[in-house]
Amino acid sequence: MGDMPPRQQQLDRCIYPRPFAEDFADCPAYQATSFLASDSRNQPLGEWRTCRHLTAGNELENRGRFYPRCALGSRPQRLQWLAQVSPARLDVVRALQDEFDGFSMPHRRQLSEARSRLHAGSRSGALEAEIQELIEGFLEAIDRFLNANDARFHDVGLPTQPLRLLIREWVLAWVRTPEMATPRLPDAALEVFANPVRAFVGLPTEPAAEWTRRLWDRPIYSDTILQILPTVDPPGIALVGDVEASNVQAVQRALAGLPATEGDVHLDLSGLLFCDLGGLQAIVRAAQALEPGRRLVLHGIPRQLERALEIVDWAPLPNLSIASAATSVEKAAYQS
Amino acid sequence: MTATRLLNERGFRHEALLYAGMDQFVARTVPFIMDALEADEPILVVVSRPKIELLRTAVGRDADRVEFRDMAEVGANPARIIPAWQDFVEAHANDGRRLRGIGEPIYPERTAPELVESQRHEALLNAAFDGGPDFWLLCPYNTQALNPTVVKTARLTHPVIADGHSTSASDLYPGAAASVTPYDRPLPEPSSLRATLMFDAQRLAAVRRLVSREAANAGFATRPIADLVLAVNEVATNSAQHGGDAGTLRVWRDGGVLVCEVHDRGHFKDPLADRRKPAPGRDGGRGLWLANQLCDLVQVRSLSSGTTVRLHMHRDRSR
Repeated sequence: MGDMPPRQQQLDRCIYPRPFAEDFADCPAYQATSFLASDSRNQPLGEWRTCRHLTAGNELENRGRFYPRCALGSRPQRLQWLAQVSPARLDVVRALQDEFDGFSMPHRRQLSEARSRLHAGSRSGALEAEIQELIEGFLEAIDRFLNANDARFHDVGLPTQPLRLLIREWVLAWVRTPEMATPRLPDAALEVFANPVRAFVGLPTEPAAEWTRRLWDRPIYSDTILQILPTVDPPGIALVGDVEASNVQAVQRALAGLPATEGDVHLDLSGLLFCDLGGLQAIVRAAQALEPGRRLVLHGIPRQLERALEIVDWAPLPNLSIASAATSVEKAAYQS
Repeated sequence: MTATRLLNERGFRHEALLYAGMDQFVARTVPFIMDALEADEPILVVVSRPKIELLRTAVGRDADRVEFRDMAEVGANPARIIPAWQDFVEAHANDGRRLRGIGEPIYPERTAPELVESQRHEALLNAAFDGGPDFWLLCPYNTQALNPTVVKTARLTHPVIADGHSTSASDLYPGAAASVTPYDRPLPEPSSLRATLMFDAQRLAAVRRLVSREAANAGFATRPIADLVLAVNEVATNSAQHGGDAGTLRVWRDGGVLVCEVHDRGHFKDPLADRRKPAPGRDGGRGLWLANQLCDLVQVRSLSSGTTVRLHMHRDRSR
């Protein structure tokens, strides 16, 4: 075996240690999910914690061998996915799922037990009535949960009315279908919702607005949380990931190294997941450093950064121009 | 210090006005407003919405010459009040006239941490405006609604006390710098914690993730989550850069409030550091200011043992 070239086909390999620790939080896209594993003789092996994006990838040069594959794709693709979903929304949905799992556990357990009796053949009027009662109790509990958390669901782009109908259908189908997995917030049924939700459950989305063409394969800078990419059409740079104290100097250098040609300079912020005040200051100073008549044009500025800019009141600069804002959480295009 | 110096008309006059009930409030503040209007002195009144309506009616035709602002908006977080007064003072800096203000930051609905910070704010006003332009600030205290110990602290934080009958120098006022000393002590310990995380400059992402997750678990919406993450990150960045290179984050819940505390071993002397608006050309000091704009309450205690910053966020805030 000679030198192994970087495995181009494994850019989507999950690089984190598994099984995931309970407090694992290194990967910003991580979405904990657990399943009850069992061996080939249906003996329970206990509960396994995994990531909903983790799949088995087939090694290209060695068919039949598998590697841990992130369904979201390579790191740039993961960061793009995150920018579309937004980290805060991801955490809210994660919290709502945990709460759903929590309150629904006794209902699911009772229903599951009655369901296995039903499918084992002990059909009777009494069992049917018992199941009907359990279903109604579960649906009422779901209604209470959705009503109590209406604002939170709405906030993440999940209007509760269609969600309620979907969960009902899901519960009824689950009771009647022996091989169906236990009901959760039904991922696959969420396609009626808006782009961020569709992205969240891994459904194809309308293409995100592209303000610039980014050269992913020629990063100016790269660390575990940030990529700085050159862009063409229009020329400038794109910040993808988190800008914080540990990498703000790289941002300053990249901004200072922008081509000293005529005309405006473009900064694509649509892939930005977080930017601290130091990063904001670097952007503002880069604009101030331009000679009169040239502007630093911000594209796809995330709502949070726009808000920080408003609060510190640095925005009204002649050399700084905000061309377009990213689709904000508030504007999440839910179709209720 | 003598009463004649304290009660003179020059410089900053920080006066507590004791009153019992709404009628006395109106009877004792309206003459102050009328005098300002007669002398053509700029006046800003920051009190509750219902009191603004009462005063507008009582002042009548000239009420439009009075600048009114709702204390619930300006001072829900008391650390935002001094910047508001500073804006007012700066806006009239070249007028050459004395300025007047009425500000009521202490009212019965304040929670315990808010009350402490409001009292600390009253003490910091002395340091903020002493030595500045002529500015007469009246701070009403409702003796009918407030706990007597709260009314008593007005004598510790105000050099002048008025009760509608007489105006006198407070015998308890220890001076501008010393009036904040009672608040330079450790904050009460929380009863139970949700999470603890040691961090340095390389672990700020973990700080952000923990805060985001805890806020989501506590039922927050996406916007306050993003605000809190930004605020805690700025404070933690200060710790990682100036506070002995490392810090400790602790998170807990207090009813519907999520509290994120950042502690480090650094110490800074300027008690007004969190109330100075940052400029884009100046480095540092901006984190605490931003935290005060984003959070419902920020408690800062910089002691020789280290600096503690607690950021409070209400789950059900209306903003």
